[in-house]
Amino acid sequence: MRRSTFMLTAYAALWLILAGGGCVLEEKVIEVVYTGETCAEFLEAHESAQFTTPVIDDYGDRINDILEEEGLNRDDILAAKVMSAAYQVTEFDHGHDWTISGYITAEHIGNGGPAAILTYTDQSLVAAMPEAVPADLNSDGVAVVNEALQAYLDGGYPMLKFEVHNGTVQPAPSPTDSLVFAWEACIKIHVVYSEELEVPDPL
Amino acid sequence: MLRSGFIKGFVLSTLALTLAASGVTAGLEDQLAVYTGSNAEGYLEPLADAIGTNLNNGLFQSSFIPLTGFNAAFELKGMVVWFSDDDETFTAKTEGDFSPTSSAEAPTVVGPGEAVMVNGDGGTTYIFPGGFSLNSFALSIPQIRFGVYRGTEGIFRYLATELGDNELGDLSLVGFGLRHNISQYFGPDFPVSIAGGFLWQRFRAGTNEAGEDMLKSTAWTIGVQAGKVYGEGPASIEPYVGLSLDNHTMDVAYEGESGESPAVIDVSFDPDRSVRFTMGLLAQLAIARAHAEYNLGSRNSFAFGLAFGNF
Repeated sequence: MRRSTFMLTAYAALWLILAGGGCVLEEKVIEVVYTGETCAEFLEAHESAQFTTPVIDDYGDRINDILEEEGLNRDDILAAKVMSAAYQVTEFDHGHDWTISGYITAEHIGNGGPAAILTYTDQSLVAAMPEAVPADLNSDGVAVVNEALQAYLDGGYPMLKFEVHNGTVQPAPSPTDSLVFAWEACIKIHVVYSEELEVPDPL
Repeated sequence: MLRSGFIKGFVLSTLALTLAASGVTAGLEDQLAVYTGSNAEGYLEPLADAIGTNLNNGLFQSSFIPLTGFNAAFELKGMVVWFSDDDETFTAKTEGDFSPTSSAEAPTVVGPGEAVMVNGDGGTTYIFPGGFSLNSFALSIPQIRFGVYRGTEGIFRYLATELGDNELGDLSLVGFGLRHNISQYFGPDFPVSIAGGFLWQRFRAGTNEAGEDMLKSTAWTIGVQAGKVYGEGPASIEPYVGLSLDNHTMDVAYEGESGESPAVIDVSFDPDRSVRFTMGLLAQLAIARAHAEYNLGSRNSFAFGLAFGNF
């Protein structure tokens, strides 16, 4: 081969290599998981062991807040599912401890429930603070919240009602020894959204 | 004009491949956020191996080192690792308060992009994130070779860029090494060229939410190379082989989703030390060199390079 032909061939090969540098990027669609949390706060002040405490939650608004923290909106979301729940006492100051037993229901107002979502048995108020206690979840109540999440993804603004149904308190409260505390039940949700990135994948 | 275009093309090609690698780090913190230590390590392990393998490749392109004289060359190295099916998944464990604690085959960072769902008690669901669906991982690194003093040459690698994006942060690579002509001690008629050398490098990429390096990697390699030059004057070819000991460590620091305040989670990979065998071919024409090699080791890889200088 003549030297000039060889040099031209070498230059052509170099240009191909450099041009190929622009072809190494590929667009990938990746499913990202984000953990969000919504909490319902209950203020208790009772003189008897059996009581109910309702809380209405604008769940659509809550989910919007969770997504905004990540710079997302509902159109970005592929799925949202209840992953776990926990409860904890947030305010309690008394001369002695109490143990309480009961359950919390979830209702998608106008659409589903109420159904028990979590139960608590012989729960010491002191032991429930400051660390949250993992909750034993009930599938009927979880289904209500999952259905509300799906309603949100479908464009709705679900309203949820969480209600404490307390059965027993030890020692029993009375007008002279009333049960006063604040607590919250929090649900963790796994949210899946897709993200497009250009990453190198030359071969 | 043509020569300056080549130099510009080399620099742009290097930036393209290293910036593209930063595309992976850009999405990594989002993917890692739901994982703590043990799951994060399993998720990242194929990428950690690939980075270490690529960093320790392409150290040399000829076993021949002159004894005296001034030599300098600008070189561009490209290294690529292929992933296997085994790299696509790892055994992940559910985390947090999810019950019951379960294991599942979940995507690694190079695995499929689709998330994986696991059912739990009370109708709950745990979701593992997807991966980047990578078939291969490549790095392109510039280096300068200079010498020679009594058959010893130096190697210097450096790249630093500000990516102009708070999420990506900066990217930097620095490395230095030495190589020495060993065959000089066996007399002028020794039939092959033999050289020995080492290279140390540090690679940093990405910035986490706390402003720290998201990914830090340190690699060193030490080895010997042998080859035989065929041809004289400005044109020659040289088949070569090499045997080296490679070491690589990697640390990742990212912001996880734990508690009310996001915490920085540190994942340190155990040092990865392995032996590597290299087979390659070098072609030289005047002031230009090109080489290609295949490396057999804990993870096989391919490397190639172009160089300009007086060798």
